[in-house]
Amino acid sequence: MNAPQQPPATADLDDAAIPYLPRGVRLQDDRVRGIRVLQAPERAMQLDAVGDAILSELDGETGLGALIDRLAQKYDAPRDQIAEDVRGFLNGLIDRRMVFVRGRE
Amino acid sequence: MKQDRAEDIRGNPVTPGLPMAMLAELTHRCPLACPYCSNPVELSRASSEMTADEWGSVFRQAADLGILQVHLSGGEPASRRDLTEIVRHARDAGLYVNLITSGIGLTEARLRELDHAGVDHVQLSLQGINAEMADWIGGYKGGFDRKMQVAEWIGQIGFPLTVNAVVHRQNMDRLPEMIEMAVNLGARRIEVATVQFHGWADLNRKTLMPTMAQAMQARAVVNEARARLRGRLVIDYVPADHHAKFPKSCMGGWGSTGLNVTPEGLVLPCHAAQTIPNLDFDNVREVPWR
Ligand SMILES: C[S@@+](CC[C@H](N)C(=O)[O-])C[C@H]1O[C@@H](n2cnc3c(N)ncnc32)[C@H](O)[C@@H]1O
Ligand code: SF4
Repeated sequence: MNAPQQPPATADLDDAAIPYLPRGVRLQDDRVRGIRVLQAPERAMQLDAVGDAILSELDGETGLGALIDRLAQKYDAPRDQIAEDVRGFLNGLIDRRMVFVRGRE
Repeated sequence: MKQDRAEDIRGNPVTPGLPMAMLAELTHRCPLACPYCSNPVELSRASSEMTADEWGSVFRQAADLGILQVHLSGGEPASRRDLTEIVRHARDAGLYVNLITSGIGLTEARLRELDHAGVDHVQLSLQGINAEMADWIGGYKGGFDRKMQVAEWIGQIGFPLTVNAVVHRQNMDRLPEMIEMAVNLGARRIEVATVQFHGWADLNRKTLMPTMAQAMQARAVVNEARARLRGRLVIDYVPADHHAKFPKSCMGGWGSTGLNVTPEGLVLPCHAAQTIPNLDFDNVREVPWR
């Protein structure tokens, strides 16, 4: 079989990858329910504190490695564990096209 | 029912959720005439449509109720000349604005206005995968070419795009091509909706209802495409429900996840509610939500 023409968008996220929230996906307060939500086409997802913390770091410039460092420091947690959580969470959203990766859109 | 506690038909307590989304049917007018259209057969007249300001008031009340997203639909929302103003009201109320359209009636200038007014996302319906099929289904000559042009502008402006394809007996076998078209149009998402038998669709039931074999084939096509296009195209699939043993449950609880507001302001728990005999619904013009 020939190599696929495009890498699958969910190829493993390396530390240089820059994930970001694309247009049409918004992180916001739900003032009535008192929660944080991620708004996307036809979806409003309730975020827990971890999800909110991860997505709040996405600025469209920081690479995944630096992002994980930042979170590990901020929450004073082992880097490996943070890395696993962040990759798992972001990959799920990338699959659902709620997070994009620079250069891969 | 007691006033202080909601109960189901057997007297069990229920906790109604706050509705998250609202479908705003801005008008029943539409230049197309899709035989599967879920719109009521008795259309609201243009003269009874709510004004942009009235919609603005509804959007603010909706946001106070906990609604997060509004789907601007109809009929054809682009048939409202004050669509931009309506969008602005929805954004001012803090809602996430999804424009559901066939594309007919949108120009590049209008799309740019809608962009500035704050449309978050566009859902474009396909009537077919080529001009011959689409213009026949929609009953509107030139409609397909126009839609392709609109799709290009949508891409240039950068609106996130979902393609909606209603599938039925006449077109279900072309599903792979519809999915391919969504990819080519740059959509992030396709909604493959097996025709639901509301409104006009019910009248045309015989010619629209897919066979069991078609429904199974469609499921296989969706599964294959989901795996192949993972991370590129999200495929939401509304399967045929008439081959099941039992009817599907209704809306996950009427009014608990969404509301419909008709062009003249009737508040409905779902699209088909008005076809159920002996039910009366309030009009938001007379009975505000708070
Ligand atoms: C009623 S239309 C109104 C908006 C606009 N005229 C359009 O076609 O996009 C809203 C959406 O419902 C879809 N639709 C129409 N009739 C349907 C049916 N019987 N079952 C499922 N979806 C349907 C359309 O394809 C469209 O995406
Ligand atoms: S589905 Fe949309 S475009 Fe087709 S007739 Fe109904 S309102 Fe018009």
